Amino acid sequence: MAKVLVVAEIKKGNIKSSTTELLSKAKSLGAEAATVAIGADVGALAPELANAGSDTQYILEDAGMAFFSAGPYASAVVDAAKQFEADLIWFGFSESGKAMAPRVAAQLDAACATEITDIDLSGKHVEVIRPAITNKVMQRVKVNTPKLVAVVRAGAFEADTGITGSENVVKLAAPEADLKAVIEELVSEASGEIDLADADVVVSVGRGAKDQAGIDLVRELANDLNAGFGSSRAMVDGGFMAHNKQVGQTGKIVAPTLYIAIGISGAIQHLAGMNGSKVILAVNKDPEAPIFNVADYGIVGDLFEVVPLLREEIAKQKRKR
Amino acid sequence: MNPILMSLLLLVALAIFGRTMYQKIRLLMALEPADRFDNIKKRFKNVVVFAIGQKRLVGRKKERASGLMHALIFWGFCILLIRSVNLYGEGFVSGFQLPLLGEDSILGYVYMALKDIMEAVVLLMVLYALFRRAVQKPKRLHNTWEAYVVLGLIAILMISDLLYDGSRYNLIMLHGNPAQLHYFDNPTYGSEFLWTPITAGAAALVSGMGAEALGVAMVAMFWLHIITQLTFLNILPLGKHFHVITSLPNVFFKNLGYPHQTPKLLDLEDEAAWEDETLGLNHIHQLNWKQGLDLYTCTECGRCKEVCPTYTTDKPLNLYDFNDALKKEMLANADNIIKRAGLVRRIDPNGEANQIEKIKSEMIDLNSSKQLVGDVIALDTLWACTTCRACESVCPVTIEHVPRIIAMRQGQTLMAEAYPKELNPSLKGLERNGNPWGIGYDKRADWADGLNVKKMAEDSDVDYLLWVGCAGSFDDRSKKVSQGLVKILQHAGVNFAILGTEEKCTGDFARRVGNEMLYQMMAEENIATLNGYQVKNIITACPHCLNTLKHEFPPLGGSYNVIHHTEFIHKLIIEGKLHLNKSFDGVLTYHDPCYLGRYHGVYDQPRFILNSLSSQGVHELDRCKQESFCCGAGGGRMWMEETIGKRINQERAEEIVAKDTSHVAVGCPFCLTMIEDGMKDLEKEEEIRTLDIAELVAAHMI
Repeated sequence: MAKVLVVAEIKKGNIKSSTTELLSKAKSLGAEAATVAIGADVGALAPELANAGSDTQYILEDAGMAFFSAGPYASAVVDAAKQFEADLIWFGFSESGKAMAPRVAAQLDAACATEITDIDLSGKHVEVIRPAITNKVMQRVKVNTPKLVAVVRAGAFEADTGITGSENVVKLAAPEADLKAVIEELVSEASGEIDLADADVVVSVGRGAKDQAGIDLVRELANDLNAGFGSSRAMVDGGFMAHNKQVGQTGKIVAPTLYIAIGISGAIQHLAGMNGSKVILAVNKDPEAPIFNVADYGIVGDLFEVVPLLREEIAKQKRKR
Repeated sequence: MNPILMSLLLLVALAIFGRTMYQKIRLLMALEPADRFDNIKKRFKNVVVFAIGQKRLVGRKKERASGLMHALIFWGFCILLIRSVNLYGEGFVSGFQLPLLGEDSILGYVYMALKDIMEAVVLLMVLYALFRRAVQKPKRLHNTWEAYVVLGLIAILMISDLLYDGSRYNLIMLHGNPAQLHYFDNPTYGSEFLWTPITAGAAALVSGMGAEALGVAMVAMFWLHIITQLTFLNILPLGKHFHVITSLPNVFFKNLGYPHQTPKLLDLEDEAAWEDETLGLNHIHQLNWKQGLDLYTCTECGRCKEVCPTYTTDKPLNLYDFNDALKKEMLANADNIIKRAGLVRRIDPNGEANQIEKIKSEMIDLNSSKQLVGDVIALDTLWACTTCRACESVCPVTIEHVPRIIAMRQGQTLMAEAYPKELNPSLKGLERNGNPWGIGYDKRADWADGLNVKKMAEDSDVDYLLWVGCAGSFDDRSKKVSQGLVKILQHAGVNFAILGTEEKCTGDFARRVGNEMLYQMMAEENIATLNGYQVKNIITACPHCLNTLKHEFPPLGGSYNVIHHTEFIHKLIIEGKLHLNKSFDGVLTYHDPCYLGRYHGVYDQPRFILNSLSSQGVHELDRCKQESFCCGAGGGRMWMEETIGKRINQERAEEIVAKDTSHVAVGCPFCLTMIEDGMKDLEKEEEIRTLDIAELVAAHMI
């Protein structure tokens, strides 16, 4: 039976959904799954990790590990992998995962595959699927080393709540304090707004909104959906929106699950910034607007009529829940 | 008059002048090489047209008054130069006469009359120049004391000569010529004074003086004239009036065959070039000698900034200051540049490595302490340029501004990696999908679906390749232009094909932003494809593609006959293969794209086409043809934000709106986007339609 070590992703004391997804996948493949959790205050997470599907929980709880630092974190993962005798070490698709994976692979003399979307353990060799050439092709990669370190693409696997493991905690010793650099403090930007690049839903406003009143109306829609609020260039040039809100060729390039374009005609400069979105909804009064060529759903109408209707319907749905 | 004094003055003045010129020329010779000695005949022709003919001074309607003023002073100087020789001769030999221009010949008299009138004309022009500077104060001029000094010196030259002659006249005519002065007096043509009304006038002014006083005045004016002239000669190289000496050679060494020097094809595999930072223009000593001569020649007339789309919309690029900053930096480093050139000569490529290293480290010590981009030229200044060439097309002394800007961008992109980061998505799009938007390359031919357009891969035995370009392939708005053009070609029975998904961006914008590596990659891939199909004739609707395909591919091995679609449509009409009806209804104007007009001189064909479909003809914009105003998208600006000052496209759109037109025709996909966007900003897009000429033609074919 294959042994999979999932490196737990913890943000502000909570296990991220990606960890659960990875554990579910490991179990569904019939593998034995373990997790490794690293941080200053992660001891209490063991039951939750077991519940998510891990059979062994390697825990490194140390005040010195409060902030992520690729070197020592990777050493801890290597320690856990050796104790567990893991064949596969999986990371979630995060900056920290991407920083650790190559270090761990090098120390374990293992292959390293990034951004995998699927894995096949049935054959003699492990095989992974990963996109290449900006998603234009998917490649099937045969792994020739006995061990594989993989970074799994966000959302590639689904969580299965029916899968559980058992609690079996192994404490890890803190790596030697020969750190080249120590993270002293995490300075994060104090902004209440949702970052456009991170947002799962983005609502953008264009020239159709005309003025501040129109923008405010669309902003309300964004707030209703807890969405990032963006803009086309016209509104930035008009001085209504800040440049960091501009979606497009020379602004932010976003790819949310849902992109709602309100009053945006869809000039190619704008499309270049959002056509990677999974689902696109467009509202525009001009049925010829090029935005409808890329939209999955289109509403031809005046945004001053359509947006209030949308908001009403969203409020209704929320109440139902 | 006084041979000893004359010899002394000439010796001193010419020695100082010679020394100054030696230093100036030595600096130029220490700069990088430039090959500007080919086609001497054409070069002399340019000198006749631009320098002697003063084409850009008198040729521009908007600047005709000051242009004529300058031209008359210049022509006056040319004529008076002969007079000067005469006066130097007079210094040695009393009554000195030049061969052919003596009193035996009518030519001598004619010259005398001409000189007489020109002195008055020049004097009047100096007065006008003073009036302009002091009262009218045109915005483009810096009002410097130097200008007043020079105007003053010119006035002294004219007045002293007139008074010298006037005194002589009085002495001869009124006082019985006591000193027995020589004067022209030929039985056929009469006394020289009959030919010189202005001198007679000047004489009348001093007629009240006694013989003795006149004798003193005559001698004083003679020497004042000579000393002023020699002083003038020595002042010239010190400031902007150096152009009096350098503009003729500057025009002579003007780039031929293309409006300015094409960007240098960099050898990116040369490791030493990366190490020595010689890719692009990174240090002041990397200017070539012609660029140095350009800096000597800049007269700070400010025409360049007046027509510049960035300066007029409050951006920091001011070519006048740009030249001045470069000139100051070059002169401040003159000694080091000369020393450096000496060291370069000492490097023996086959010599010892240690020795070479030692010389190279000495060379690095001679680098300017200032960063060329950053300290001398600000980043925002460098990246503001749209490469529209408006500045170059009005420069009376043919200074090439744009190549320096591109070379500096090359340095910024390749060596310093300090280019605007907002360019990244577009550059990446080019690398991965062959178009700046990064749209899947496989969708490149989708616009032609159902139009029955052949692909080269299916049948390459065609007369023309239609080069569609990225905008025409991917931008919904420009796709309509491509579709219109296909309709025209099919209607006229032209045998053509497209490359389809094999076509890639020519790399134009990558090159304008200094990414020579990406440009060469795009160019080489395209050339391989084109040569593979043995393409000979190319039609394109994009002037930027036209420019790159026609002028920048040949050095990489791709030579084709490339024409713009407006040239081709014009040809079809002339040959009777295409007929248009004059049914266009509305007021039509035309916006000249920079890369079609100023880069390729195509002004008449688009107008011919528009006149063939509209009975009312073309209503010209104030800024049209050679002086067309850029839409703001050239030089890679399409892919950058425009955050400083007014938007250029809006400035242009306002100009079009002010013309009360119903339609504005364009011939470039970037112009189409920018002008249409400008109309949208002004909420005029319904009233004033922006259309490509191909769209108009497609709608009016019979």
